[in-house]
Amino acid sequence: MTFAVFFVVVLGISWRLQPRPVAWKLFLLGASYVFYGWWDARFLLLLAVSQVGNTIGGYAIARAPSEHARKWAVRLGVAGNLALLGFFKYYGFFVETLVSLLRPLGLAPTPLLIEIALPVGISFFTFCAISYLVDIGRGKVRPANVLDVSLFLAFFPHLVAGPIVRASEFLPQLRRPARADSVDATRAARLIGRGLVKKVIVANVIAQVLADPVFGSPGAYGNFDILAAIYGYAIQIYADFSGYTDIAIGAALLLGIKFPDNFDRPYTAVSLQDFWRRWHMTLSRWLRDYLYIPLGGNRGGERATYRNLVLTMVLGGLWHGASWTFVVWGTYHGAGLAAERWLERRHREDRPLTASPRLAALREQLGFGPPPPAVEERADGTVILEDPPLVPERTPSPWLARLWVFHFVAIGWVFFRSETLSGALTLLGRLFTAWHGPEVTTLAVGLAIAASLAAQYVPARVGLWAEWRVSHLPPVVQAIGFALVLLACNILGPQGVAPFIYFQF
Amino acid sequence: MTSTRPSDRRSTRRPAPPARPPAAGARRAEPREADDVTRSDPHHGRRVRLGMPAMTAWKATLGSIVLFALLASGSLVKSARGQEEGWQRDVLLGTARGIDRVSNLLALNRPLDWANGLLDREDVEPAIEFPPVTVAPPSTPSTTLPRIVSATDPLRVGIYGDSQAKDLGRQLIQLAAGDPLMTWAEHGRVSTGLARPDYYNWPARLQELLATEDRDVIVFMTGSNDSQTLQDREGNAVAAVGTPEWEEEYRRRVAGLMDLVNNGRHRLVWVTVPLVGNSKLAPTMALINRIIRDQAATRSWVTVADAEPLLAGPNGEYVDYITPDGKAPARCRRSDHVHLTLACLDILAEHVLGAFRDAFPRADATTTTVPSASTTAPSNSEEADQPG
Repeated sequence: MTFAVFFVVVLGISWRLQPRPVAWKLFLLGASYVFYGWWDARFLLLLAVSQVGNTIGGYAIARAPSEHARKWAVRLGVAGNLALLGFFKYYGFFVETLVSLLRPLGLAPTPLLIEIALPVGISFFTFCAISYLVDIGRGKVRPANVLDVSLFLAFFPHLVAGPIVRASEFLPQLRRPARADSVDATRAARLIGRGLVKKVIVANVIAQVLADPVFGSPGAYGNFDILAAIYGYAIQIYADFSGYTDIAIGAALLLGIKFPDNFDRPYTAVSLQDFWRRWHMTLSRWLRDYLYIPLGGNRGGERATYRNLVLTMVLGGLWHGASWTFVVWGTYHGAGLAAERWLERRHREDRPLTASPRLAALREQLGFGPPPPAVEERADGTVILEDPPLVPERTPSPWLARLWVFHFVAIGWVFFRSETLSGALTLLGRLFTAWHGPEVTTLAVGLAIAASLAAQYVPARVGLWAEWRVSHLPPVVQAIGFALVLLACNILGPQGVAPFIYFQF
Repeated sequence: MTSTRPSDRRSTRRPAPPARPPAAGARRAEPREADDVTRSDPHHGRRVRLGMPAMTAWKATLGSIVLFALLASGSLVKSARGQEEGWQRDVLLGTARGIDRVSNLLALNRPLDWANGLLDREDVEPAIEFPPVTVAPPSTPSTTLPRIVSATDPLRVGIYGDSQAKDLGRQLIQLAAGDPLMTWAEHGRVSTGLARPDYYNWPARLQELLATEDRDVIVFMTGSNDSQTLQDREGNAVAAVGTPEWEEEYRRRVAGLMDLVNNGRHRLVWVTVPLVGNSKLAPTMALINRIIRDQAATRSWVTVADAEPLLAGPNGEYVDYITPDGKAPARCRRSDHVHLTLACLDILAEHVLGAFRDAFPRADATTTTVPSASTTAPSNSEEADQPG
């Protein structure tokens, strides 16, 4: 409710000030500082340092006297941002690993073991800043003044948990503000309402009833609950994060700023690559453009491509948190993407996996070899061996592919959610060993999971059609409808709403 | 709120140019969320979302929030009560109470009350009268011998308290997983304590839980959220933190809660608050722990599981990392310097389990030490518990 009051005040004043660009931007920047300071005022200075530093960095890159100098300026700027992120986010991880490595030698630097508080949203605004500097270096963006850069990095709807907006998407909207006579309020209301339903009802109910207890005590539940919790967490993290994104995009839209989409029904993906085009899309494209492609992308041959894929996903995993569980999660997805690419290549070259001589030999060794050739003995005593008829390769059904991708991703979430690797392995081990019926899985939660999965398959045009219909209703009716959505969230959501998962990243 | 006829309003976007025909054999792409209907789906013709003027959008947003506030005024008051102390809370609470009065007057909050009734929720915390505290509490509860726990009549443990209790509860359940002689129930509630019965009245809730759940052992842990002004059930300030009145009132509440459990059937294991890495909170946490120890010392049905020294540094000071005997240093607190990591929860859970497990003889007599104190007779409760 506090945010609602804050937002209504900001919304009214923002549109009033919009005809005066400097005052408008200063006001939005001030509002963003209030928003951030409400979370943790200690790090406002850090945010300001990042804003000023990146403004200076942007000008330095643009005015570099030579290409060589420009490259070094970009590297310096990126390194500065990474140093900031690294210190606050990875210091503890680095020192803990160092201590555990040096401890057997009696050289453990235990005095270095101190806890560094993590500034909210640092991963997001640092990635925005890096993209800004690199894009200037690539000549895609012109450097902006300190006010525009500051607002780009700190604009409150995307400050703490994305989406990771690019300067090329954001800065032009500051130079040419949206029309005040035609705000896309219906879409904004739908996004905010949908986001609240996802977060307050779906994510919180699943978290409180199922996912938190099971992942919190991985050794205490039977495989029915564990399986339900794995499915449940897949839905919870989607509902939580995409719910936040919906609210952020909707809030920005009401303020006249358009953000890119961040989710596109990811559990309908038919391949892992497809999944990453639908899940946290702004992070995926960031990793592609600022990590995978600079690493060489697919330009260095197949092996280099696999290496780059795995490396990109490992670093993407580490971006989520300084923990080995995220490293494993990233490696798991990187290996999955590489394997998928390898299989696709073989298929393209008309060498499907089933045709692999090694696999055929292995199958034979295991007694699963191809059917023996037909033997025909002729009257003259000659023996003719006929190869078994070739079974044509069948294109897998998209539904089988979806099922496979969903389960691959859901298993990956176990590492993402678990606090420790041993906890994740315990959970996965008990999935196959702890035969037990439901203890915490209720019918309501099961239905919530099933309905949320089914909702992924509702065509986007249905929502667009609903928006179109609602947009023709008088604003007062729309306002009443929105109030009723808020009331439904209040009634159906559990008491005590947990913070958004992605705030911790 | 102003309303304009659809024909008066302008469209959100200009009509897009006709879409390029798809390549032969290509499937028509599903429209993306951000696309507008005209651009992405030419088969639907000129279906264009209508926008509204910015000030109309603002009034609609304001109107919907005001309407929601009126419809859910009770939740609003409760939410405002849950805020941290300060002028923001005062403003929010004052506003929420004003809205609640208007809503009451117009009966606008009836639908929410009805829905809350259906879901068995309350916006107003229940009241409670503490049992009278005797000057010298009885040294032992005057009841029966400790009962023998068995697979058919396992030890029933309830874990209650704040977020720290929730975390501890999960770790206890994990630790005792596979022990058929124990069943568990965890009823933690985040952001709660003994300071704010207007937000969550633990004594009243505990009384309800004791009546509905037959527990042998009550593990209780709160205090992390109590470094604030003590309030009564109506939200009135009773004593400011740091004053002698605060200490006196908190002592009364701790004692009252301990005495609530003194019915001869329950053993109360009160877990003290681990040291926190916040110099503003630390003195109050130390005082709370002292009060808990003092009060428990005179009540034989209460056992203190002292987390404070257990999770402290070599000199009893706050540390982010602890080094368990013969093991590698382990991070003990999360980034808020209050909540415990899994490594430290493990250590604490071991300690808490040790505080009561051996007090109950086991039918298999493998790990039993029969104490001189006494608790309860076997119960026939058949509730669906968490397996140990």
